[in-house]
Amino acid sequence: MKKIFLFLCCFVLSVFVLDRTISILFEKFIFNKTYSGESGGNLNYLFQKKNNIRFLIAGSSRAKNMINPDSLSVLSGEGYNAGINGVGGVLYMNALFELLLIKNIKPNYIILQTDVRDFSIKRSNGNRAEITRLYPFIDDSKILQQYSKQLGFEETLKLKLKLYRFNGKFYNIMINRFKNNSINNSNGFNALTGKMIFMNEKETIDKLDHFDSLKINALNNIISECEVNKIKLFIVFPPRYKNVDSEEMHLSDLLSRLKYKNECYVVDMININKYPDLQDQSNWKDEAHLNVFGANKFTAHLNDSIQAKLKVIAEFENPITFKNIKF
Amino acid sequence: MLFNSIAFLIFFSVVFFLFNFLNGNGRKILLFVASSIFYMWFIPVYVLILYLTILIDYFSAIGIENSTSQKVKKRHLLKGIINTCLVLFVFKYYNFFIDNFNFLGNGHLKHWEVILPIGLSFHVFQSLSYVIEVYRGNIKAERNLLVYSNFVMMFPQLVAGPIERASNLLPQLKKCDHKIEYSDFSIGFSRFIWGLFKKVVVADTAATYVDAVYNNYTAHSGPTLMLATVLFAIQIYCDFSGYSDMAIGVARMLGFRFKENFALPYFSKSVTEFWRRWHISLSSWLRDYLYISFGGSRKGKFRTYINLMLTMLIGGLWHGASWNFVIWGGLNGLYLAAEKALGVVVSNPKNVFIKILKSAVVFILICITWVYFRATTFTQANEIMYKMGTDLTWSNFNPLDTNVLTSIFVGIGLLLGVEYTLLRKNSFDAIFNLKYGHMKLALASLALLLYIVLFGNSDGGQFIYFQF
Repeated sequence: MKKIFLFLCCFVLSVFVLDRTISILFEKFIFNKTYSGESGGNLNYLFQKKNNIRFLIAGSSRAKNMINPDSLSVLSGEGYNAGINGVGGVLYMNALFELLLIKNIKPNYIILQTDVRDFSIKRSNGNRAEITRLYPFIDDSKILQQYSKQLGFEETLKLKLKLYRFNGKFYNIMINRFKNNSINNSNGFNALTGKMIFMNEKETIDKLDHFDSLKINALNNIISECEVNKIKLFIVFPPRYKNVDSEEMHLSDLLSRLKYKNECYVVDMININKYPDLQDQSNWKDEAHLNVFGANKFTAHLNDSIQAKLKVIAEFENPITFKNIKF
Repeated sequence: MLFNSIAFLIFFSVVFFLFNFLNGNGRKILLFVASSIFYMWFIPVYVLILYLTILIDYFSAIGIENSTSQKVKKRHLLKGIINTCLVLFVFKYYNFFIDNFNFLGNGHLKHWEVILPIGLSFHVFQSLSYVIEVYRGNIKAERNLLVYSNFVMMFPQLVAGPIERASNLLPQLKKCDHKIEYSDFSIGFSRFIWGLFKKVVVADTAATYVDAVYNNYTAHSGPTLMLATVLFAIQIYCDFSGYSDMAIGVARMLGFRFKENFALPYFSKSVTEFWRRWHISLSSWLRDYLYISFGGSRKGKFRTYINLMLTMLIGGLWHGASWNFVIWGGLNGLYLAAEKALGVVVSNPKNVFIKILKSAVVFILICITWVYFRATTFTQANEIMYKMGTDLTWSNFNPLDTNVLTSIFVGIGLLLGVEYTLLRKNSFDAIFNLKYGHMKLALASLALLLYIVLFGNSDGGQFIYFQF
């Protein structure tokens, strides 16, 4: 038994020593110098190379693939699209926003793309992915630490190992590290090419009272932090190829749960019938994502919407109290 | 409780240290309590079903042994088999029966909304094998209920096997006063980490790709579905053999030895050989208690084929109450019968090319059966098969997330490297007995553990075989 005990002690000690050593070396020589792709590379690029941007676009792949910062001329300045495939919900954004402020990056505008369905409790099984995607930055973010605690004791214990922050991201980071040379002042926008592929998208929204409170709180926190830091926040609800009735139906219910602030504006573009030029199938990659042609048209519409909004703000001098303004 | 969870780590640490300080009956009680807690972690009340099957077969076996007349012995045997199978039928097959009854007779019998007790088929088969062995006179009935309970519900093998035979495990449980050796601990520990690697790094990562494709199969082309099927073959192997490795490892750390359950099945040169290497504890169970009971190969060629088919159909149904599993079993039965008819013998050709060719053919044949195993409905399986046969446009191949695929392929490469070059020739025991063997095992475990932390799917699901 003495030998077994000794073996276990040596083993545990070796695990911790190697874990610390490898993670420090990996972080210093690989991760922190990675400026491309997901798993943190695009965020390193944002934190280190784009810290003077005028506006930031955030959200899921629907932001990443559909909003071109270069076409948002109304915001007159450099922008960066920090949308992320699959996981760019408000939990991710809430933690990211905290990281931006810690690194003293304060854009004048934030365009946050989201969907009503993302707030459904039925989608809460995706919360974990949103939280873990930002793990390489967990030491800096209190919000992320809180979120990780909500994932349970097991998760907290796993995070004692520093290498765990890079769990499932290693190859991505390595590949992105070697791609760094190919970056040429990226604006983060990634247009999709190709024809429409139907995915038989189903309605997943839940009953009205079943919104995920964690996400509602996250969005409220983003709204209030924007208010404190005088950042104008545009919450954008983009259209889908087919109108999803409940998206529109539940929007007002979702908005009623938010704590209204002066610097926050909703851009409701859910109803595709209002944008005839987007209705053609040739503009879409699938039912949720516009291709490069559609993205350009959509960004132009978004630009107009923001312009109209800014005009109203300028006319009234004082920012309008948060409300659902349809353009 | 899942082996790949922190809860199990804490649970096992406590059990291990208590087990070490106790002896004899103390250990037996500890094992019983620990196994009950382990099982109750899923749905507490279901432990009563487990106790029920234990009691049924415990008294049946004693009844068999106490009887002098063959007729009475048989009656006790049937009592044990029928009652145990009844439990299985009620919880596992009732709804399947209702569905088919309604379909055939246009009836409107309602489903019984019940969650299948985890690992029910495993401990039912283990109990049945014990009663049959007592009936056949191969072993004596266990009079100590605590020892017998531990045989059925010993936690490492409780929910997904290996389906242990009484002749192997009962004597070990009866004594229960062995000293825990460092060699046992070291070998068991390494075996556990290796199983964890197979489960968390290979199976759970492959599952992300397989699930994404199979859950949206209409949107994918033949090549994508083919890759997903191949990855499912690897996923299910790593999921199940990984569990077996962990179970064997956990038992070994406590000083118990379980039988091997897998022996590199995908390197088989015939389907017959595959079934001697895949889920050995189940295939030997089916052979000993079904195939041989049906008459085996003693009643002529045609009857042999029928027996093989029947055995595999029941084997399929054992996996799950669905026609997909029956078809999966039927296909395997068909392969086995065809090999028997063609005179294919289990051999090891010297020519490497022939070896690879034969293994590849067997792998493809097995992959076809996995489509029916993985698909949720018969229609879905057929549509996938149809697409794989007709839609062969490689330009439509969809790698989904290349990061996931890279991770999967590196994991598979490591798996192949270790299993084929090392574990095919050397057991963990043999490695331990090499010069500095314990150090080699410890270092390998350390490297694997760090690899798991970096590359393992931390959001992995349950073991596939838990549902059976």
